[in-house]
Amino acid sequence: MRVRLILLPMLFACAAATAFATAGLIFRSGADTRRHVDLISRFEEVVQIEGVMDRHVLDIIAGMLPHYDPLMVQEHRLTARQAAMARQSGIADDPTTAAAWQVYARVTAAKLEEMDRIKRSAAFVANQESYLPSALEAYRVDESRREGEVDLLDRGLILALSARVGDDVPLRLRQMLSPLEHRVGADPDGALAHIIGHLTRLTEQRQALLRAKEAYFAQPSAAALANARDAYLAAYAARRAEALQKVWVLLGLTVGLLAALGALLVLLGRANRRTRTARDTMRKLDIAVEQSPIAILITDRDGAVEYANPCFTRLTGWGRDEVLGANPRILGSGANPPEIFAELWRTITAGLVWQGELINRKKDGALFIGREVISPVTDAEGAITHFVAMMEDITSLRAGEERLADANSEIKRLLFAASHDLQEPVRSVTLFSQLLQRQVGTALGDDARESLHFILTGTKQLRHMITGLATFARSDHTAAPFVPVSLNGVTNLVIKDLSRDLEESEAVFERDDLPTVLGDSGLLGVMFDAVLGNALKFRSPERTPHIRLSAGRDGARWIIEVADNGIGIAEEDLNDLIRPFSRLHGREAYPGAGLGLATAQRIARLHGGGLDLLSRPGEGTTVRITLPATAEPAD
Amino acid sequence: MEVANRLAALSLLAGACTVATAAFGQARPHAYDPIAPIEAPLGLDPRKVELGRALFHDPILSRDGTLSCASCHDLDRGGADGRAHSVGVGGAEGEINAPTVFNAALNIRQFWDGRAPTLEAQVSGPVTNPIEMAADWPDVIARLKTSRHAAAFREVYGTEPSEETVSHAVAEFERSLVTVDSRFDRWLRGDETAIGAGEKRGYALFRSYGCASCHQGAAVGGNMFSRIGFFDMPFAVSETRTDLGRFAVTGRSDDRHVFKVPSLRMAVLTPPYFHDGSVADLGEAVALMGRQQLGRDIPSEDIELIVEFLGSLPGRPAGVHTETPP
Repeated sequence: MRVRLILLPMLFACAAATAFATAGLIFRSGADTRRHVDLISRFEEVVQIEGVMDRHVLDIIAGMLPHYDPLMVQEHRLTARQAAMARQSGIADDPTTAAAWQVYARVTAAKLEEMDRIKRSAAFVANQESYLPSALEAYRVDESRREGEVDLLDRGLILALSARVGDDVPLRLRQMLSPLEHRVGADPDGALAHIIGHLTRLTEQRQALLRAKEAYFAQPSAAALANARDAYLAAYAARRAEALQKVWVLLGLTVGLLAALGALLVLLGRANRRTRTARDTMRKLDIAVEQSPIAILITDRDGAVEYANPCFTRLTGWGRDEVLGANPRILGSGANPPEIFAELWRTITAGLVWQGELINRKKDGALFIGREVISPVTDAEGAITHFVAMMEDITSLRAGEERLADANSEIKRLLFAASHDLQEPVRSVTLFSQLLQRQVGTALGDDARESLHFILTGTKQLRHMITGLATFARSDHTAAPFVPVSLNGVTNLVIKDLSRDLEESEAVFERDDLPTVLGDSGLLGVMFDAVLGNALKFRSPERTPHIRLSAGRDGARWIIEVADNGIGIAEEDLNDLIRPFSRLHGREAYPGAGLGLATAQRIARLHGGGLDLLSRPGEGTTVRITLPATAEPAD
Repeated sequence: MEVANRLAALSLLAGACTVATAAFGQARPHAYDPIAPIEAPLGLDPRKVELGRALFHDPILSRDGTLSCASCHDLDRGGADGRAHSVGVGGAEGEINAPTVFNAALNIRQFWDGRAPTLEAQVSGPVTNPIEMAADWPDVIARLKTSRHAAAFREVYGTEPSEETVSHAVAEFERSLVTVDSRFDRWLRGDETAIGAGEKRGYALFRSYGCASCHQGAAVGGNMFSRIGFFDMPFAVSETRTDLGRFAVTGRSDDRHVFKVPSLRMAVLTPPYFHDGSVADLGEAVALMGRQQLGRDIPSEDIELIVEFLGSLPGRPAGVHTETPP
């Protein structure tokens, strides 16, 4: 997640950079194209200027330009364009093109030199072409000139004006005019020499003009320019191809980076949703932890506190800010045995949960008993990263329990004392009442006899109750450790005690073989006495009592049932029955202290089991006793 | 110039001046004239012209601050100095005659031998020539940076002074120094009364003798190179380094004694004549040209008429024209 978060701006920066570079390349490429178009048009312009110049040169040779200014304009344009182009990027910065351009510039310079010669020779030739015929005409009209001389001069002029380029032309002219040589000296006004001189110069300059013309047009300026242009175009094409390749590469890179960016954004979005869900859960858990009535402390693996919930503050008085980073030892009271901590650390560093009670000290110094659960928190690899301690102040609970236990034991003592101490006076009252009855018996009047009978009945009832109370008081504890007890033996004794009642009531009694359990044989006897006694006691007057004692194994416990077909118990009365001193029926109908079932249940519970009643009024009652089948005693 | 060119070509194709005249009205009654009127220059930057003018007249460009361009190209003396050879820094005597700065913009190339292809390229020559201004550019630029011109350079060119900007400013100024509106040009443009009968006759002689075959175009010269002495060689007795002419540039033997044909626009104002300033009198110069270049002895009365015609050629400096062409 964190890696992706760093990746995001990096990817974005890369994508932006490549996009920027691409745009820059395209932009530069665009500028290059514009420069290219401009340069191509300049090449065209140079070609055009040269064309115009060539035409002007031909015009000059033909004597058809009144003056050379138009040509000079073209020459100035050409040299200016050339100078500008030589500096232009695209030509100057490409070695091949620059070299080709140098060749072209040299060719052009040579061409311009020839043009200078053409101009001066053409000016001279044009001048003489117009002057010589008139000079010859003037010579011809002079009467003193001989016919042959004029003819020779005419032929010389024709030669001078018509001869093609050739080294022999001046020689041919000299040979042609050689017959006149001897006449030159004799010519009084020098006119002949003048004309011959002009003819000679004209011939020379015309030859010079024709040679310059040939030289001018022989300069391969067009080819050199085409060469330079081709070199430029090749360089341009290469540059374009390279730029295009770069653009493609950069474009691909940009698209790739953008795709990666998009993918990353999608991933981040997903992660974000997951985070939000996790955060929702976290928030709920956070509230639960914050609101928890149990003090919760989270430490790192070294024991430094990272979190404490408000309940912790309420409990210990330590503010959250105070405990953060602190060690839970601040709660130390010194009242715990050191080995308990050793065990604690052994447990939790082994990755197990420790549960126990510790005496802790609050910030204000008060001690409290904490019931604590300390669990290690492991990461994905199983390494312990944190510990979570949950503690509950059970000081008051403990105090209550102790108070209750104290009260209970007092009641028990009282009950025990009362039941035993009362037995003696009740026995005395009963004994002496019976004695009195026997002693005075018939001497008494009916009223007195009746009173005595009431005393005897009352004391008998009182004796029952006191015996029941004594049994009840004894039933929740045992003096001796549990030993294996055969329930068959126990029930046999009980049935023996009840045999007179059984015979009287003509009850049918069935019994299974009962198991051996761990317990107190005396108490178990009391229990069965109460249950079997009830079964016999609450028999239905309409039918023969039928009592069945059965036993069955259910996993780790025995289920022993005593079923009768007696009067039954209404469902709403079932729970009341188990309370002490509860009785549903008048003492006259069913005598008893009302402690039987309560005592039986206490004994069953004392043995780690229980007692339930299943009953339907008018059909009978089933008492279900469960007892542990294990060999171990209950707590 | 372009218009003149097209007009000339058209009239040639038509074969007659009258056709051209009819077609183009009063614009050019003399379509086949070897001389064209000078057009005012277009597209000059007035600020650069002014900066160039200031530099042209400022001796800051010379080594010891004694000479400016105007020292040898005095605008009040036809754009030249009236000396055969100019005098440089410390009284050093030059080897060549200072040509007029007027109409220099119309020259095919600069200097007598045409070694500078442009006006800009020409500026550096006199500045660094040890017998002229004898300066060197780093010093000049350093001085200019602390001078009153520095602000103008920054304003006009957006940079500090440099050889390039100094040259350009001076050249721009020189481009404003073409002379327009001469009496002869007005006549060429159709004003029959602009020149007198003698001048018209002189012009006819100038053409018929063949002077106009080289002294042609708007500047009456300056647009080509030619050899001194087709018929009569003036360098037979003694020859100096400067007499070699264009040979110094091309190294070709047939360019020996070849010089730029000088413009005759300001000729009447700028004696002495020729590259060596050897002839003080214009008539004598015309006669010399007749003999050397044309192989003709021109009669003195014709020479006078030709000189009279030459007197109709100077115009006034064009300056800066900012209006756009139609």
